[in-house]
Amino acid sequence: MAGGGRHASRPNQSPGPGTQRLRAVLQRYRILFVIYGVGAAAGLREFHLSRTTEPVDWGSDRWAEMTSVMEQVNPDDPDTDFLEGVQSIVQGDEGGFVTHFEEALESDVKHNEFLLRDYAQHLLDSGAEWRQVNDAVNRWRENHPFSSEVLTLQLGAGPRTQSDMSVLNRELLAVPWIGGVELEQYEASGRPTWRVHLTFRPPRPIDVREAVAAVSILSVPTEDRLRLSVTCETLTDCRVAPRSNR
Amino acid sequence: MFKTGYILNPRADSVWFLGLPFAAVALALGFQAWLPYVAVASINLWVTTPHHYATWVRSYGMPEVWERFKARLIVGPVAIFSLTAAGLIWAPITLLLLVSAWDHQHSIMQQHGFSRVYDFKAKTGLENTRKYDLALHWILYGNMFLQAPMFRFLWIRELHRMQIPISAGFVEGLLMLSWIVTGGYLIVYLLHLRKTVKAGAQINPIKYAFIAASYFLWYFVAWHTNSILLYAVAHRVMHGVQYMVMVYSYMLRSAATGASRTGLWSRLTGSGRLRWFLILGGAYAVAFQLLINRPLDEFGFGVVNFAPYPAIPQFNIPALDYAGGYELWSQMMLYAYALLHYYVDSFIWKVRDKQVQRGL
Repeated sequence: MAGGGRHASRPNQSPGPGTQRLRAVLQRYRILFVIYGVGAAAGLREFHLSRTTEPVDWGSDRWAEMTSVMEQVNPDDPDTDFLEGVQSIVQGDEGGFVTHFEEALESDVKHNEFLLRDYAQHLLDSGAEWRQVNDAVNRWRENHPFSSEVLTLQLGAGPRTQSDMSVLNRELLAVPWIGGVELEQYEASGRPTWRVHLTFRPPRPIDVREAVAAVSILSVPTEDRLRLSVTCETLTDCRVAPRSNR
Repeated sequence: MFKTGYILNPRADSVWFLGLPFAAVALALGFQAWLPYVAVASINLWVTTPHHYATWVRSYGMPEVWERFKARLIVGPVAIFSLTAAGLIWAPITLLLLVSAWDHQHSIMQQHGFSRVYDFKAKTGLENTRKYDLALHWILYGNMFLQAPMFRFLWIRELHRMQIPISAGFVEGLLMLSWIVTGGYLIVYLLHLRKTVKAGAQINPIKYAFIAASYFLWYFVAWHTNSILLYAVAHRVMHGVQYMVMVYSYMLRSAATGASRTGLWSRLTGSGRLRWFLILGGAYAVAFQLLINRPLDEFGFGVVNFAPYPAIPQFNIPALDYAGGYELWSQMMLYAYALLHYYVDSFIWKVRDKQVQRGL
């Protein structure tokens, strides 16, 4: 800004070299200044809100408001059905959840991974027919084969010893489509319960009966587990038979 | 009144600029019907990522461009990478919106740029036609963005996530206003065309055919679909392919007219070199995919896969998941490169070789 003050009163003077340089820089990088200027303002607001208010997420009032707006302005969109389904779950309305999710799925939705996964998980949890469960799980994984989202299988009593855990892991990992296994113990109705989270090995076709058979090994007496294996006709009808010698 | 002019030539324009949007829509409809959603990632790898590479060749690979914009080509990446990292840590929703908004602006500006080339080539339009064209693109695209159910869902959701609640009444009012503005501006634009003709200037009908084809694609896929897949495929095919065609044609003309000094670009330009331009684009996409640690299977449209390593019971080796398979692949690369080094050294360093002796 050299000399800027000395000639300030002259109306038609050219700006000093410092001002010219600044203008040149502003001109040269104007798109970055405009985009990141707006971005910085929005980012500072987001940063402030993230530390002073609750996030807008499932179950929050604002999320419910958003769902309500979508219902009015975007009623035929399957993503709106998905939001309504989630809202039903938040309100404890299991029937509403299923209705909305099935409406969304009728339109051959492929992009909404949470819709596909949650519906498959619901079918598994609610004891649906095994073909339906397999169709839903395969539909999810075919569209999102590299997703790290998991499918959860309830175990009931679960493993009692380290040996049980080892055999459970071994049996599950022997299933061609299971890529990883994570056992979890949690409290349900005041008693310890187990579940297993399964990750996938793409692009194998998935038959959930194989996972059910693998976890059912725990019902076989410890001394017979090397000799016997479990196969399942449905998700509940499983039989023990001698292992084939391959 | 009318004077035609083309970006490339009548035949090439009818394929790449006028016909491609329709072909892209047909392709996307086929994808929607027969392919899984992961095909969007494949389109990214086959089209979008290589179109970024075309930018690097057109900027960093052309000496005149590099010298002329050196400061911007250095400061730009530093600033953008730093601010992106900062956004991921402190303001992730804003970062997502910024990337999305700039993407939309970039899409508008590319089609506007091609429109400008049409007028430039045909020497048509008035001095201020570019401003009318720019406004036309913003209004047509903006109207689609506000109205189309797919985009409407996104902006209403993101405004709520940013704690800017809007009511259904406000949205409906905004949508009506958007149609009024669009309709009104189309009348203004027609008046501008009338003024153009009255002023003795001419109109390039091919430019308007190009604009119509582009907006047919955008409006059709944004309204027609229940899925982002259709839009993602059609838009990316049109945007990426047209960009690469433009870059390569620009380099061909630069080579023919001697407009630029030799550099990376000139090694990829000219008779028989198109395949190298494309192969390098593919190699760039592979390298980028490996850099971000995503599976190479994403090249396969959900149809071709090579991720799983099956179990080998004879060696008591369990089947590997993707992470395990990637580690095995990395280990194979380490071994293979080492073995290649041993092999090549076994014959290039013979001291008894006269040619080797000359270099010692």
